[in-house]
Amino acid sequence: MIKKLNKLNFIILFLLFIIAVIVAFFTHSASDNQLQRSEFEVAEDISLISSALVYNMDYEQLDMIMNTMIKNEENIVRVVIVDDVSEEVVFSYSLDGRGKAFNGFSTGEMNGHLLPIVYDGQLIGSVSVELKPKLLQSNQSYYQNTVFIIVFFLFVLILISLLFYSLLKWSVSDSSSVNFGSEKFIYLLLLCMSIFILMTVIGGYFFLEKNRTTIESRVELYLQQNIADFNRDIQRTNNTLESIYNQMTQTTEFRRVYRKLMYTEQFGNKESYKKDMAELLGIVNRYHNFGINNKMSFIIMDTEGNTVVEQGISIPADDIKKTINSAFIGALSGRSGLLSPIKNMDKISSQYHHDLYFVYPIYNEIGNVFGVFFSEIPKRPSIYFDISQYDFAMTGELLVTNSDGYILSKCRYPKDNKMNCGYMRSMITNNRHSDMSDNYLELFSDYRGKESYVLTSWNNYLKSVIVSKMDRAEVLVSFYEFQNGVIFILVVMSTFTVFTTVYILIVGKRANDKQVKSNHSIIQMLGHAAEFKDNETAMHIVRMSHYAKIIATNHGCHSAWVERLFNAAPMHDIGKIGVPDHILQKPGKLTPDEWVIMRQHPEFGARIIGTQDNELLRMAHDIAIAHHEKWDGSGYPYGIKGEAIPISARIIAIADVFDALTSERVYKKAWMQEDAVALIRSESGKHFEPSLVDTFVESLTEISDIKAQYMDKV
Amino acid sequence: MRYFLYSVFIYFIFICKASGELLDILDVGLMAQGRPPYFSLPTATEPATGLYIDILDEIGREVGVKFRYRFIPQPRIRHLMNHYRIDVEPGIAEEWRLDSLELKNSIYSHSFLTSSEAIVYNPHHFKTPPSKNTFNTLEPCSILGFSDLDLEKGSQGENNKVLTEMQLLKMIQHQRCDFAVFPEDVIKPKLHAFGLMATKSIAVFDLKLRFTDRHSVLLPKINKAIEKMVTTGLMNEMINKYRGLSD
Repeated sequence: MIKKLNKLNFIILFLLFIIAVIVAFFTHSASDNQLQRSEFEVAEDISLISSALVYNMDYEQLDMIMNTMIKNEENIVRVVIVDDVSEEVVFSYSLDGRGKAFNGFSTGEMNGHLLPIVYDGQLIGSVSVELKPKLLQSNQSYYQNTVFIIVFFLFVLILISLLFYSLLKWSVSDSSSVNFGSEKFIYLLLLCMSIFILMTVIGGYFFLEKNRTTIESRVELYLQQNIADFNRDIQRTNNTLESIYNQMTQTTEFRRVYRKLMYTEQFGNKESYKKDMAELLGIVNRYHNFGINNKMSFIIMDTEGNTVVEQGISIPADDIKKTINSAFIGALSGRSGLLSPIKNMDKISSQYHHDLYFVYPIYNEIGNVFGVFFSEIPKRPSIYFDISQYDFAMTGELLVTNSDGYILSKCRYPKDNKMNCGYMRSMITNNRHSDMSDNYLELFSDYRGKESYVLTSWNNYLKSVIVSKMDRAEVLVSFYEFQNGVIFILVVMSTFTVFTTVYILIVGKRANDKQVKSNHSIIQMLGHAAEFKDNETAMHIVRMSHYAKIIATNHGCHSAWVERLFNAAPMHDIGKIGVPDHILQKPGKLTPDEWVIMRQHPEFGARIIGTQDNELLRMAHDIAIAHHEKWDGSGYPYGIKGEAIPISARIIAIADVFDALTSERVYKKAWMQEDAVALIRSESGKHFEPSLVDTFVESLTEISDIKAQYMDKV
Repeated sequence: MRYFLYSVFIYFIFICKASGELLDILDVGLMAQGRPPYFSLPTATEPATGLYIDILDEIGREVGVKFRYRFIPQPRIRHLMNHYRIDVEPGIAEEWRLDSLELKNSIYSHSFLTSSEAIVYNPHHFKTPPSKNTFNTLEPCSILGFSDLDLEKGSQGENNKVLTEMQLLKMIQHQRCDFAVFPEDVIKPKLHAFGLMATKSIAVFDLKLRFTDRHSVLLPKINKAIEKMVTTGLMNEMINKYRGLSD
């Protein structure tokens, strides 16, 4: 037993060691994962590295350098570099073959992050970079989850092995009432299995929940990154526009033309105004490389708020006038910036569109503001990204809303053909007093009524709410697939385990029962052999076995022990095989010498049975050697007394004597039952244990039934 | 009818004025690193100088246009001209601009200069002075954006493209490539400094001003101005100034 336990301990320690090694390995692997760079960062690098090559049109070198860079950046899905002059693709790479260039032009949408390529202050191209979705990138959580599941299931495995081991050991121990195949054994086994299944289900549940949390964390990062990219682009747009308008308006030429326009607008000389206007447009048109040209809509106001110049039709002057107060006053104070997006319906297409406007103060020679320039922002990659370019994955999108939640930007799923999007409530719009910098992932219905994961942020440049969102169904698609997989495996595994165990149990029980029956038959046959030699009937050992069983049961002995007694009883006189026939079958009285031999039969029996590890045979040994000992110590072969005599032998003594008295033999008639009982009572405290005699007397009814049932054939 | 005539007149005046405004400044594309004696980069105190610049300034004065000089890489000059972002490329032989867009978009002035081209090589690379045929099996190098001459195209070696003439000369000096073709005007002053040698002239080209076809209206005036410069001897005077009297 100790050896076996040591072996078990060794196995457990070994398993724990394996777990530790696996944990260490996966933890090390997880720590090796580097932080993921964003599309913006990669695009910025490419923009910087490629600018000189694109400028020099050294496309061979560009190709070599880009391919080297892509090899080092494993997460790149697509890179497209477009020349700004010809708008041709000068370099393209696609991991999956999508959107490759054909005849110099891109065959697909320029998704991903778009950045301008600038060389020596000139816009010369743009680069679009698309990385693998972050949901697919990070392996860290995968490793952590794997470690978690391995450790958990190894733990469950060890625990359940210990439970089963204990149960099996218990079922075969001497003192246990939980025999293999017994009802208790089955219940305990089923309990163990239920614990195992329960733990597996609980573990599976926690694992799935952990998986869901991990996915949600990643989505939060993803949405946050998207907002950060947008904010960075808007900041860049603002800075670029500031540079352009600074360069445009702070020249003597511009100031001269603007002054003339102020004058001619006021004094109504239309011809001069037209001429000056044309000159102004000429100045503006010099920045056509940046998308700012004479066809663009803009308004210039003097410091009184009077419109000096109004150009183009797409700028809704009235709307701007209504909403510019703060921006106008800000510009008079020298602050440039973007206006909140304005959503309007196009009269021709009857569709909603959104526009961004930029406001810039016009300074005179001594640095005082003497005009305010409101300009439409050209929708060019270098200046302003159309917000729909921030759409990501299957359902992800970025929205701009006002503080009431009204969607000002394009949306991915417009409600009608007018491109109307409606409202998109969010944390900021729901609770205007909330801390706008403290944004967190929320789950609620979007403008379509679809449950979505939403992250909101306040953008100070646009004075608007930025909402980054993704459908819940898409976010959790992998989670549900995984969940279904885990549930399926758990159900299959549990069903298989239960059925297999029950089947093994049934088969084992049958085999065990058969074995027990077979053992009992053999023991009975051995008993018969001895009885036959002693001229006793076969029914003697049957009856006395039953008597012993009745006495033991009524005396309060354990049923398993009683069963063992019943099986061992037939071997009580097995030692008579060792007594010569002439003594055993002598018709008359035995001589003292013959008695000496006769009284050796308990020892012969003990020697025949031997010292066995088997519980049944150990009991048979005890019975064989002590069933002629007496309570008062006057018995043989050793003359032991009282409780020194095994209780099995004490019971067998009563049963054997009672049946011997009440049975007919060749040398005597059968006693009346009352006489036999009277004799046994009279021997209480002498030959027999008093309490057992009392039990015997109380059991006479059952004993009589057995006697009647197993009568000797005449 | 009278109103119609007035309208036509006003429209005509407008068109002329608009054209005049458009032709006011013409962007001239010149190699980013300069190419003396044809043109040199401006300094902090001095404007750009050179033969082409003097000639263009004189033509500008005659025609009434202003040329604005932009120094950009050679391939980009051609690229920008293909897309009408640059108006003029000076000193170009028609044989050198054969891309489809160039053939479609380009118009040329009369020739104002001849350019004699020679092969430049490293004498340490050859045991005996090489002949023109020797170079057929050798490895040339040239500037990115320059048209390859027949000799370079016919060469069996790989043509190494570099960005500047300085890189080109260094490449030959360090025997990274075997030869390059240069205009004699450009290479003569530099041969000694780099320890290189040049063959005799292998080809002579008529150099012209290349314009985008948007300036076809202007071309006769340009040609007239060139003819005047040649007739008056001003052209020769300018060429001699930069080439030297011996030429």
